[in-house]
Amino acid sequence: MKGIVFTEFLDMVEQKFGYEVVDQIIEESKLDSNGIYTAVGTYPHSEVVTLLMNLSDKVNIDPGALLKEFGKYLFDTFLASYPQFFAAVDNAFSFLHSIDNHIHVEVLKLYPDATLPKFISHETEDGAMIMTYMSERKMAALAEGLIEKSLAYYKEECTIQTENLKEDGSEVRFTIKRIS
Amino acid sequence: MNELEILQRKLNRERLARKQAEQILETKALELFQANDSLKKLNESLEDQISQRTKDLQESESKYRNVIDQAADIIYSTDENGYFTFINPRGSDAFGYTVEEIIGTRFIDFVIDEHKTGLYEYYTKIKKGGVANDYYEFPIRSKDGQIHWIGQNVNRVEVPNGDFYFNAVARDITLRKNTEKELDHTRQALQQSEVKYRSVLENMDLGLMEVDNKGIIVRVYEKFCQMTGYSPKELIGKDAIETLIVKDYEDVLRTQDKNRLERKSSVYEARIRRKDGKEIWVLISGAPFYNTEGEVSGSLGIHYDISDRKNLEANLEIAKEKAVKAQRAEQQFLANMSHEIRTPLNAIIGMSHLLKDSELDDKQIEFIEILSNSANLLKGLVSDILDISKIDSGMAEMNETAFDLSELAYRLIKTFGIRAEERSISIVSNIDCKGKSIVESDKQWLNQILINLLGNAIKFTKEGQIELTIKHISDTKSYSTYYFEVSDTGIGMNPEELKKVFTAFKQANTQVQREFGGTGLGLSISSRLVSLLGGQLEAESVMNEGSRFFFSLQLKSSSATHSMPKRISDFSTRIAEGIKLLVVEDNQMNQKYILSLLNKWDIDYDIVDDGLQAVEIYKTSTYDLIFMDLSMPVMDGYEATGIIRKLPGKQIPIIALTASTFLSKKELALQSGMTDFLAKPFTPDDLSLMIEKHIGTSVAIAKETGDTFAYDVTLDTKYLDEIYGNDYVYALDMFSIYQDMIIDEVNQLHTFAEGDAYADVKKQAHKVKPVFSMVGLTHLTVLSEQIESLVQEKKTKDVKRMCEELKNKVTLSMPTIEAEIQRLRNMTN
Ligand code: HEM
Repeated sequence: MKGIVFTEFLDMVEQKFGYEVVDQIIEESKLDSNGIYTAVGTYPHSEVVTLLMNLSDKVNIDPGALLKEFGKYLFDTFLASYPQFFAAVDNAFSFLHSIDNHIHVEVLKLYPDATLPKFISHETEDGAMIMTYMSERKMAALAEGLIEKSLAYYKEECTIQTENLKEDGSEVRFTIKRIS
Repeated sequence: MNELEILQRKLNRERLARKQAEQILETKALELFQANDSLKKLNESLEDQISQRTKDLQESESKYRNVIDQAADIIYSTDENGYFTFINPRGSDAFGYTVEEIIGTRFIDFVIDEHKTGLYEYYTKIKKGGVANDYYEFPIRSKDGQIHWIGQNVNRVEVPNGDFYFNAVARDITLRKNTEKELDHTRQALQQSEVKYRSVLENMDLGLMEVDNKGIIVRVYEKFCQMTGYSPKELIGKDAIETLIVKDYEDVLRTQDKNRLERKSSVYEARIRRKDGKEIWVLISGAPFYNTEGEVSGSLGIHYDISDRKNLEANLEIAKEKAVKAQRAEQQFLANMSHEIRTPLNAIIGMSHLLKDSELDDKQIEFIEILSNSANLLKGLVSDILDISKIDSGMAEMNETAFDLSELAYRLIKTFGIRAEERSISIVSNIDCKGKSIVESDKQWLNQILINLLGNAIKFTKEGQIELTIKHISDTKSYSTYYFEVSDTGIGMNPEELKKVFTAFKQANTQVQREFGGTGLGLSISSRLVSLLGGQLEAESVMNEGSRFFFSLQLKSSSATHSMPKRISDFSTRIAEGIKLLVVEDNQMNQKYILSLLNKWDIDYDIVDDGLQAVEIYKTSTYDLIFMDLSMPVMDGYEATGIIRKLPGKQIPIIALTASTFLSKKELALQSGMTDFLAKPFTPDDLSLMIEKHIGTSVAIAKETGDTFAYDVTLDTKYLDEIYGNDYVYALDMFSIYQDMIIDEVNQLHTFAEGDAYADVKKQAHKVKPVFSMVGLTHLTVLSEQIESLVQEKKTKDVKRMCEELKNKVTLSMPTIEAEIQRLRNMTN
């Protein structure tokens, strides 16, 4: 997993709960990396899971909710660092389609060792967007946060319905409908 | 404190992270540097490669120049006006001038005069049209005056400023040109001879036409145009089949066209439609022709008008048909006449017998003798003529039964023995059948042949002896060959007479006829019958010493050899116990006839009226043999047989019964699964033989003795005797049934004919046909048969007339039948 995920995650924790909590979860997690992350490095995915679980214990918030919150946080980072991806399209659905078709493709060019999810998306006849998340890393909640923020960014009011296609969470379907 | 610790740890972490990042970035930078470095190296090596290439190019250029100098081809350049700027050594050799002499001169100056304008125009064209590359051939004169043919590939090369010059590679093709010229000569000669050859064909009234592989006319000749009435212009470029061929022959032509592509030639006939619409017959001889590459490029058709011949053929066919019809009419006439004559003759003979028995003086007796002899002779003549016309018209049908040759011989010797005794000549038999005397053949015919030969021998022999020889010669699996001979010690014949001996109406000479009597038809009948049986009757003779008539026949060896009964016996025992027959027959009279015979022979049977009932009863009972009528209501014999043959169980013999004499009916019967065939009307002997043949049980007939009854002479007494024998009760029965039913049946027939219901006419005629024979009205059986075949030929007028005639004849004959019934009743009471 790319270092940016770790540094942003810890940044969010610091911002929301204070560096004390960051320090505690790093200390408790006994990580190979000792919790030292740089955005340009690459680290085991399991470490982000451990950190997340410990945080959840500590602050008594469901890990899914935390991950979704992280997604929202990450969105702002992406928006700041990669404005060109957002300027390329003028509505939320087009942007969401472009993740798998364009954004993550570019990401992979930049970081050949990135482990990205697979999205399959299409629009139904009644105008809803169906987006299926597929990844062994089971981070659909992160995606949900990212999606919510994307919709808000393009100023579109939508309902998001999530549905686990696989019990372990490696396949999740998002149904996004515009409210009009 | 705690807070401080945490802060320190944070700081420490960030420092470490930065170091990590620096390290990562440094590695990346190193990688970048290395990549850059190798790019630089690649660039350098590329430069090396380029300079090496340039060097190589330079080398190869000089190599090429060498090649040009030493080339076998002439290579030169000229400026745009045709002045030489370069020529290689081979070029200067070809022209016979040095390179220096050539450079600066004009190319066109070397070309021989006749070709100069052509070449000039050619170059102008290349210059104007901007053709970049082209090939051209022309002759030049070399310094020594020789002519060389040059084939050149010229290249128009543009220089950046818009000017151009020519580069050319040329070859001395003088040798090829010369051979080509020679070839042209031969080709011309060939063409001339071909034209000559074709004009010969044209003069022979043969029309020539050539088509390409698609059947499009490419060439026509004068004669062909005359034949079809078209001008060459109207034909060339047209589809030959569509334009010329009569529709029905298109397919023939198309197959022929295919043949041509496969390099086959053939001769066939077709019809052509001329321009004026008239159709002609042509005999076409078609052959593929080839191009210089040896490929089929079309075909040449030689047409010969055979319309005249065809018309002649058609006329001949019509003439032949007419002749055959006439012949058939003649035969019909003969058959009818013979019959008409025979009936009154029977009366004359009968009457003269009666007269003889009355009180007469010697003179009267003599007259009567003459009268009855003449009548007998006439009767013989008529029946001989009838036989011959029957054989000649193909109406004689072979009727195969099993019989004993030695018995046949025995009977003949016995009959002729009496006649021989009267003339003090002896008659001996020499029979050697090696135990294989039972054969299957037409007994009637063989008997007639031998009777004729023996009769003939007796007629011409005054003293000495007559010998009948029958010898078994050889065997194959199912056939045996027998040799038959009748020899006499009579007057004999000279070679002249011998030649004509088997020809009808050609008795040895009129003198002989007067002296010996007879119709002279006996031998020719015999000869024909022998042929019908598959042999050839031959004769040898020495004047005043005697004659010898002989033939060989291949006869089927009978399978029923051991069980053959001796028919000649005067008494017999019946051994037909335990067998059961099924009789399927819808005709009342036939039923009655068969049943009375079976009863007499004590044979068990069931009888049903139609095919369907036959199938039903067959399922519930076991039979040894079935007699099956062919045409029946509800279900006919063919169908019933078909069904029975598919049922499980033993395949018992099924014998077809029919009044039809058509062979095709027999074939149909056999095809439907029947075993054998019994033609109606049949005699008791025929029936019993059939049972014996197929079951192998003897059904010997007890010959009854008692008073004899003479049937009315207008009836077929011989046949009546044959079928009823001494069983007059039975004959009475049959006559009575006939009397009861026949008027209705014949009226029915008449009604059908009047109502144009010809299918019904045919059925009805078929039904009544055998009935007449049962009361001796054989001629009415013949008449019914004629009605049947007239319906077949759709001669409706004749059918009506004949039905009318039949009705009248039946009515006229009723008094006779009634009288016979009365007489039979008196006799049996
Ligand atoms: C400019 C926009 C984006 C950029 C530059 C970007 C880039 C990235 C990067 C670098 C990673 C980490 C890969 C790794 O750790 O090996 C990642 C992962 C991920 N991205 Fe994006 N992303 C963008 C937008 C989005 C959006 C809008 C979504 C929401 C649907 C999304 C869904 C995810 C998820 C769920 C993962 C986690 C990996 C996984 O689940 O397998 N990304 N992305």
